[in-house]
Amino acid sequence: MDGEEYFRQVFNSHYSNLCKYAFTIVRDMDEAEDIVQSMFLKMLEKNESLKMVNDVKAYLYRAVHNYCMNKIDYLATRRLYQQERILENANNVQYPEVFPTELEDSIRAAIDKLPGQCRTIFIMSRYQEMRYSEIAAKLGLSVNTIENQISKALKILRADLSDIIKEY
Amino acid sequence: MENKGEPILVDDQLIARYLSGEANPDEAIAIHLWLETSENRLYFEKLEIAWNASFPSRTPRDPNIDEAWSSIQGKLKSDKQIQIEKSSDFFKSGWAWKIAASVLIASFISSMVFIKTNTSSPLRHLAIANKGQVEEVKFSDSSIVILNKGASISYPDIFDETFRIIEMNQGEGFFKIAANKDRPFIIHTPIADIKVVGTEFNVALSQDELTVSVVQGRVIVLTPKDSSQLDVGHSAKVRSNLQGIEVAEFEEANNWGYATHSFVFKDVPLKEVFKDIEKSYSFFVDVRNRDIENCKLTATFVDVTADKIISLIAETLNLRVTKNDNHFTIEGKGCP
Repeated sequence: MDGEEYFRQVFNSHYSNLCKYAFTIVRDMDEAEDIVQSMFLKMLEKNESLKMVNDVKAYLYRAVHNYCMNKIDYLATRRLYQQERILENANNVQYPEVFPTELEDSIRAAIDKLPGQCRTIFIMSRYQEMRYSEIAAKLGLSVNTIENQISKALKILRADLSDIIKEY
Repeated sequence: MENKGEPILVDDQLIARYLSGEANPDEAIAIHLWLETSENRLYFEKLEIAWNASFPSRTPRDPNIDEAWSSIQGKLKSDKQIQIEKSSDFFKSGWAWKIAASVLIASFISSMVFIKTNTSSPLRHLAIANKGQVEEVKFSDSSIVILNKGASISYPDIFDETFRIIEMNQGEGFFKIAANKDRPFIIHTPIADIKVVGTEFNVALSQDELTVSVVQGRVIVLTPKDSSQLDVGHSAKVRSNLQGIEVAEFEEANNWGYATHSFVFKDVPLKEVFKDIEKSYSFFVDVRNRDIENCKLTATFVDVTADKIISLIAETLNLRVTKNDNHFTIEGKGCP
């Protein structure tokens, strides 16, 4: 198989999944696709060396992860700056509540009903787009606790929203 | 590799971590692998729906793999073009003495005059249809070639005054040549030359064989020892080891469906039908049940998209189709 054909095959088998993975980190599909495409273009420049890579899939996922982390590091710095300015105005450090305006009341209510800490953590992750490590540092908890709480929130929401989200 | 030897367990916590963008690369791979089972996918989707419902405008659209591929391909091609332009001296020198037949032909060629065409424009451009994609190239005289996957040609920016000359290096192309009888269009291939004044025809070139099939008008095929004039509905086959030209009537017009997007099937098993379709579009067809391939189809399609042709076939034969990226999956009862 020549290099071009090999590249095409690798591209076809992984492009969509890599974009989906990148999306979870950068939370924007245009951005995710940009990242994955630039990664593939970069890869093309060293096409021959790719064939030497033992586990191409692992290599691709790691590369995409690195790209995404660089991207959100940049975004996080910007966000931190913005957040500090918001917090200066509102004295609401501990439990910020910033629902996006688009949220329907029923969904907002379901999230509001989450147990205290679970709710705070979910909001920080989902709407303030903070990393687990950032939330953990801010609340003085372990990353493991954050993981548990997010997973718990998700399970509660799945149950509570099951009627509402049938229409989705 | 971090997780060597330890399989990663996919549980609710990992799914939540994945959805909130915290999964590391190995975990993401584990999730994607786990998602290949439909039962797992259903379970995952329920959590994903809840996650998306909590922020509806952040629900991801599907990635667009076709668009991504053409974008990457575009960048690749511009790189290649630069390489070719750098080496265009090679074309100039190699080109000057290339032969071009120039005779006005009444019916059959009895004698040929080879002339030196040192005024020919250099073939500065190389067009390569990438493996997965059919590509259309328009020449300066507004003639068109539709290159099938993997085909490549070299052509000048602007054609010369006396001849329109291009070179075909490999693969298959469907040519629609603008009529101009004072300025013949000549295609050089490693096996034979093709000369026309204005027609539609298909050229299929492999390592050792050239097939020219005429859809409209008239085409002349030339080798150093033989020449043949082809009319509509005929094809000429030339093998590199033999100098002769074999002419026959063709029946397989579906062969250039990649260019015309038109097909005629008369009582043809779906297995063959799908083969023609896969050859013509950048799609693959999977059947859930081998019996489906036995069903026979009689139909004529004119200028249809892959989606259209597949859904028409499914409708006719009472089958179900799902589409995923560039794969169609067909389910149903099939035929014995």
